[in-house]
Amino acid sequence: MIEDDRNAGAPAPSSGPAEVQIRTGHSCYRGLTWDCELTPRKSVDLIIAHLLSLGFIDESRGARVRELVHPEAHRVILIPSTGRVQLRLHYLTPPEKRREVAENFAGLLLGAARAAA
Amino acid sequence: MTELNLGTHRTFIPEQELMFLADEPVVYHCHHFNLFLDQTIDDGLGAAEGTLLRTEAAAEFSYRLLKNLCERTNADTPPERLQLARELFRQLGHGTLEINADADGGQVIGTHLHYGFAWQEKYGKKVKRHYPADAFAAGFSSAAVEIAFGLPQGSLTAKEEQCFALKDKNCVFSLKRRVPPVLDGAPVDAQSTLAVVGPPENGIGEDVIQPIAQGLKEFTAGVAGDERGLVQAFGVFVTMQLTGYYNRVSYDAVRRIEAKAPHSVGVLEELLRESGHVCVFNTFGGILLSPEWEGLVGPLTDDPLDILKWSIAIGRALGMGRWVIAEFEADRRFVVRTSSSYESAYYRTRYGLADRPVEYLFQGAALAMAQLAHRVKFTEKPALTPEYYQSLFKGGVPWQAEQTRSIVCGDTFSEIVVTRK
Repeated sequence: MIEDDRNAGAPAPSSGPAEVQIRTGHSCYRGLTWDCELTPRKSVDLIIAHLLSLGFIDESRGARVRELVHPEAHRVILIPSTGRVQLRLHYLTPPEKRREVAENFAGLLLGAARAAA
Repeated sequence: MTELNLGTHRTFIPEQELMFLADEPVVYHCHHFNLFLDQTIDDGLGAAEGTLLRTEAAAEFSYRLLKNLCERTNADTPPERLQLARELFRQLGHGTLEINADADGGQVIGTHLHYGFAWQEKYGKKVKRHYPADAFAAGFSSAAVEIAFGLPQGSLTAKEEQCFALKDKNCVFSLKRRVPPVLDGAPVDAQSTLAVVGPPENGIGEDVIQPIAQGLKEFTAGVAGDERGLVQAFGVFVTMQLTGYYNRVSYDAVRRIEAKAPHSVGVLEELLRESGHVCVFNTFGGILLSPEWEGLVGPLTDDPLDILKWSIAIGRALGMGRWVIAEFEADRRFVVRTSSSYESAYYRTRYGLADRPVEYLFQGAALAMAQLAHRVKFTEKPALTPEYYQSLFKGGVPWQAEQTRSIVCGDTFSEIVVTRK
């Protein structure tokens, strides 16, 4: 398992709890998958552009399912047609930190959404 | 040697929805199904005999796959062939192997092995395991070394000495030489499969099913293990697995029980059918509820016929056969047919005709699809927990399934009629 400095070097997360609701995904595997109610669908492309500018890598296999990889190997799935967002934390994220990391990740996305608005 | 890319060696028999990798039949299944099936075999035969059967089945079909892939990728030298085996194992989603062996045997160390790792993740905190879990990796490892050093099939035995599921740090296998046994099983490949499929049919909702199945096949073409050698998708660990492994362990176990304890065959068959429930609930349900599905297909509904059409499309895309909806009456009746299945292709090729339908996965999957379609509120995005599975499939499933036609009995298609009790 990895150590506590896993978040070092990441894009700056929100300073406190994210102003966006997250909940464990339907198939959540030990707190690694989180659904996130975030954004109107029309801004998904702008959010993606903003995330790319933050160093995310686009590993999408098609336009209908966008998959971006965070510099720490967490992933975010965005569905342009519906606006659905799912966060998938890297499996080495310590179990006791997963909610916190997910909340910070969601906060980062919220910032991207605001920047895109 | 050319770099291995599974997508370039993956093919489907047109309109039969059976999948092959370098001519060997394969299918996608999740760890819930894999663990359940292995446990069923071990429960039926006992841990020692079950493990041995599973190891031999893995070795047999891995040997053929590796042989074909070595030829296709021009892997000629032992180092190249071992490298190919390691990479293949990883891409299939089975984990990571470090092979330190030659023609006389040796040792293999496995990390993140699909079976042992997933067993530990699923049961490790609740159950103490008493014997190793990675018979598939054992058989694969012996086959890999045999192929690398040009040995006849079956020249090596493999035994798992340490196992992650037993709380060892890694999985460790010992390989030893032996006089190879006589292997007389008929090859089950694309050619033999073509001889035992019926004419493809269309059913209800083909305008929906066919494009979805095609889209999912394209989407899965690039799926391969991560740096651990695991495919973690749709909330499960996925493998592209050799159907010969599933079929041999299932049918050999049934035949052995028929010989030793015929009164127990029904119990084993019921468990093999239940593997279909496990598959549909976890894998089909996981796919339906995923954001990938929402992007590729659209939002879910709670219309049972929609769920059935989508489930049929998923079954086709995973390589389970050309399932079609022959009849549907909401809350009363669901009839599913197929002109092809990986179970019937194997059975007919190996054994000829059967005296009763034995497509256990198909039987269980049909009932499970009916149950999911009518009882799960997909729009509420339920969590697919073990408790939810128990509530749906234990203690009073309101459906009964009867197989009325069967390719293994000589029909041109197999048919399951699911009706309300």
